[in-house]
Amino acid sequence: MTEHKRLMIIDDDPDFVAGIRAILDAAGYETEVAHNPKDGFTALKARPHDLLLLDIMMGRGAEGVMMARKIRKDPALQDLPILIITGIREQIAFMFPGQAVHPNFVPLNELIEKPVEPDLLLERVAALLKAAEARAPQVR
Amino acid sequence: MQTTARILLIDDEEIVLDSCTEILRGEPYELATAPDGARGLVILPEFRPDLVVVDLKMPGLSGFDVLERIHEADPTIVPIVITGYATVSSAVEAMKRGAYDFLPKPFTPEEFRLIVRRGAEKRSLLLETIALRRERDLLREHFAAIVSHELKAPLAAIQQNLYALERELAPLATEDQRGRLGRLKARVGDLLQLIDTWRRGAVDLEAVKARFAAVPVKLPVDKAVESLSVHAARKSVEIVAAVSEPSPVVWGDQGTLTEVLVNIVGNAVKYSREGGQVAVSAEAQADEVRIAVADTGLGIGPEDLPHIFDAFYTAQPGAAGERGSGLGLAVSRRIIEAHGGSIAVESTPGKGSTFVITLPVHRDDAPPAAGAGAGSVTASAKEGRR
Repeated sequence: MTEHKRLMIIDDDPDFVAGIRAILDAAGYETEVAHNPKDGFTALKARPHDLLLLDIMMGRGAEGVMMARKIRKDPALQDLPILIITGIREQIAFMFPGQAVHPNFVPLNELIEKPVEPDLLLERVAALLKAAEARAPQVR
Repeated sequence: MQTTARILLIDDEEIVLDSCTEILRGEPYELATAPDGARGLVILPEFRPDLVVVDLKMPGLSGFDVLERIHEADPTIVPIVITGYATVSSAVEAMKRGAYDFLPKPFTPEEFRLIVRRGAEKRSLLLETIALRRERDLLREHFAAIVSHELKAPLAAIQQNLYALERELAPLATEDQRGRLGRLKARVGDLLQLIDTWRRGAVDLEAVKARFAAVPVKLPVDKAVESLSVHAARKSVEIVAAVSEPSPVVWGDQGTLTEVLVNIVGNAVKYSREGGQVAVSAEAQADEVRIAVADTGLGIGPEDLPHIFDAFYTAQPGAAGERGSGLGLAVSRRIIEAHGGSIAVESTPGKGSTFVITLPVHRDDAPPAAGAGAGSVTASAKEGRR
């Protein structure tokens, strides 16, 4: 964790963000926060990040899903690992009312449920960063 | 909904079609005419009328037949019949067969206008009712999701900060402070779980039934045991699961069955003493699958026993003082009953409780018996099928 990986957090709940940010900062990560998808996307474009922690239910609906799709289509950002942190049970129901839950509703790397235990959070973040490094050892 | 009502006129007399068209000229209607029932039915799907005015007495298809076909095509289309030289009986017959109104020949332009206007109003009310009903269903479906999201979001934020604070304060906090933080976490965790339970109870079980499939009971049993293993280990309670091989199969929904088992086994852990054991077993007996969850914990008092499946009934606190919401067992029973099964409990205070879920065996997909033992039980259950 010494090389200061830069993590982007996009979540519209500042109190929740404070909770995960404290855990990530203490673990030696550099964190940046945006409270809506638009600011988040601008920040992601402005400088390189190693991982995105993304909320789903923002604004008027599942804007996080739109965000993830947009990132996956962007040539500069499509390899960015995305960790979705969400109150997923409800949100899946929003997106697919009356349907069986579709596990791959958006191409993402991981999905964990809010609230997330610190050990689990750090483990998933580390695993995603490691996997991304293995995929592209030269790029940073 | 279009503002201009569409009216389809079906009559074999050209003069009637012409004069009716003339009467409605300048009114906010779109009109189509057909000289007989067959051609009227051809126009029907593309014209999509709000109102059909049909003569009862026509060569070829009778007005009654046309009414029937129209009703089959779209029961919300408002049918009005024209009865030539009206006899009360044909009018009554038409109304019986679902006509909204009837118009005896000969009629005045004013009578025709009035009846068409009333019919158009009826149609727009019908459509409005349908739209409102659809909206209500959608709301009901979304309501639980919306409410639980609104309730859980702030709790998740609180819990996340408790997690962070617990780590940050670990080197500084006293034993007592750490204990209080831990209890805060547990309380918030219970609340989050309660919201999930409530949401499950609000689930539309008819929608769940629509996606029933063959489920080997081993799957929900294993999932439930796995999801509770950490919790049980913390309390030093051992969960032992034994499902007969091959796994008995039921017709149902794996997700909700897993929730039931998480609930029942979770309760068993809650009411177990430290170092206790919870035994989960599943086997087919004749036409039934019997899933038993037995603990050696506190047991349920005879005064509580008849009520524990009632919503919001909470018995005594658990071994570590935890209290339930009184929803879990009520929701579980609802889910099991939707599966055509039943749930029962036996308990001896101080010795422990055994919950037994009984579900019908799903016959067709039950795998053939493999070898001896429990497998032959499955086989004999298969032979006993209807």
